[in-house]
Amino acid sequence: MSIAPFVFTSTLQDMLRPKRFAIWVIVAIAMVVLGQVFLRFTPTSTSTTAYSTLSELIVFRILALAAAIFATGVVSQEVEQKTIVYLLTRPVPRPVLILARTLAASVTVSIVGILAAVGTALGTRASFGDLFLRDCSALILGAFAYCALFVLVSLLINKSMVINLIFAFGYEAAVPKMPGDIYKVSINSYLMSIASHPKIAPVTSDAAPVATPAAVNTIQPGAAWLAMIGLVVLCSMFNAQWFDRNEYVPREDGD
Amino acid sequence: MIQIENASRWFGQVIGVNDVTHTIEPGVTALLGMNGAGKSTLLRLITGQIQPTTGSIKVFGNEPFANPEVYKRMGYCPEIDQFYEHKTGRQFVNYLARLAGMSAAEAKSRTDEVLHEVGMADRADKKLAGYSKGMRQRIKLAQAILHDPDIILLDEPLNGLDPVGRREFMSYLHTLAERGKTILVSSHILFEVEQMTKSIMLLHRGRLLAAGDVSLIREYIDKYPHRVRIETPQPREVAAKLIQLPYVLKVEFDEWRGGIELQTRELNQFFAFLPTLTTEENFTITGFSSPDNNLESIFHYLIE
Repeated sequence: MSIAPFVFTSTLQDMLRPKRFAIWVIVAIAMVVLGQVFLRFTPTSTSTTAYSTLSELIVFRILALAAAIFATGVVSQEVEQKTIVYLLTRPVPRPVLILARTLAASVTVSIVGILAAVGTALGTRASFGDLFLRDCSALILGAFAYCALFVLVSLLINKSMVINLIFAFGYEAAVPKMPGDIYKVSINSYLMSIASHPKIAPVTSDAAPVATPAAVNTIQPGAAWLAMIGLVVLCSMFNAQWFDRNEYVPREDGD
Repeated sequence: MIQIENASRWFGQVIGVNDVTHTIEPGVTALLGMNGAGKSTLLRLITGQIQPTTGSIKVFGNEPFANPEVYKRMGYCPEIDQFYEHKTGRQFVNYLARLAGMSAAEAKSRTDEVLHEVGMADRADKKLAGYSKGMRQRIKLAQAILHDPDIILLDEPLNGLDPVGRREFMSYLHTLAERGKTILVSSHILFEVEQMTKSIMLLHRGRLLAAGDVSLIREYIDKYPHRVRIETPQPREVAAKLIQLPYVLKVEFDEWRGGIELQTRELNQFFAFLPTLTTEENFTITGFSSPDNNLESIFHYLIE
């Protein structure tokens, strides 16, 4: 197992290299600007409500997007770039390889999420108190959950990036707002429970009423923690087993 | 070292390797076959990247698929030309040395050594993205030998190397073989293979068509007349001269492309005589070639 720390640190260094990570720093800076714009255009908002709104609407979406991108880099990208051959012909047990690389992706995505949250807090002038810390813990857990799930998808499906992006932006955005209990099959609902943002009163208007009201998230934070940890553990175990038993070979034109 | 028993590998409806049985011993063995013959598939089976559909492959007595114990003693130079392009050659080799289980200090010192051995020591600090094909081949070779493996598998390693690089590579290959390594080199060029080793495995459409000494194959080929094409502005005069030679069996005019095509049983004798056509008979010869000296015709003969 002594090779695992090297696989983890080298993957982390690769994912955090300036050329690859710069875009996420820009995203965090954009969140500072967006926070200030939000406060300017909604003068009735407090810093807390502004932060909560932007965090729910954007920061957690950024987290899912980053997870889709970095989780694809764990195996899929190596297969597509054909560099997987160098990894799979080294004396590194495959479960160690995939778990250490997934861990590196999860840490990278956590950093992306926290940076975006810091940018939002700075922009909205919110405090770095309990709300921010709860957000950070939800973002870290979310990074691990999304990465474990997206790596699983990438092991099962070729060109998994598209599926992961649809999941991150379509499924995860829509399902938590659906009526009934279906919101419980969305990672985002559990993360929102852990983050426990203050309820924001809906804006009343004379516009046409919504056909069916969105469900109220009744997941308890403790249960959310357990569910997410369970998801990470189960997906990771499956990923390790699957990667150890299946072939991941780039197609070659010559033979 | 490497035991292949009735190994077959299917890709859906397509067969990549078909019922191959062979044992590969220390020394240099060449895996010869045309593009699509199944060379890379066989190498992937031996390197445990894929599993045989039927049959078995054993390396050091173990199944190689996803087996770190096998990889500790095996080096593989793939045919693919893909790298982590943002890394330098030195960083790339060092990274793979660490993955081979070396400590940071060991990896650094071994990286320096192998880069020197493959002639890349002075160019290893440039980004891989800027490397020529020959430089990339050298780096691939370096990563294959860096952990001093007992078995080295090289998939078309001479592609892209210039003549000097080829000569250096072949000399290095012999040095490794003298150290007792088992080396399997794939190639689709017979001439290239003959310079590397006498021991060959001839693959055609996934099947092992012949295995053993390359000279046996040569002898087999020599049972059949060789064809030689000669380009000359004086085809009739040259043909009249050549047909008098006892070892020339037949001469035909190539009306469409010009020149002549002849058949001989003694290729070496014929080639020894050829210069006299110009030096003593004053004929003009603008070119000549031996279409038989390619793999396709060897396969044709062997299938017949």
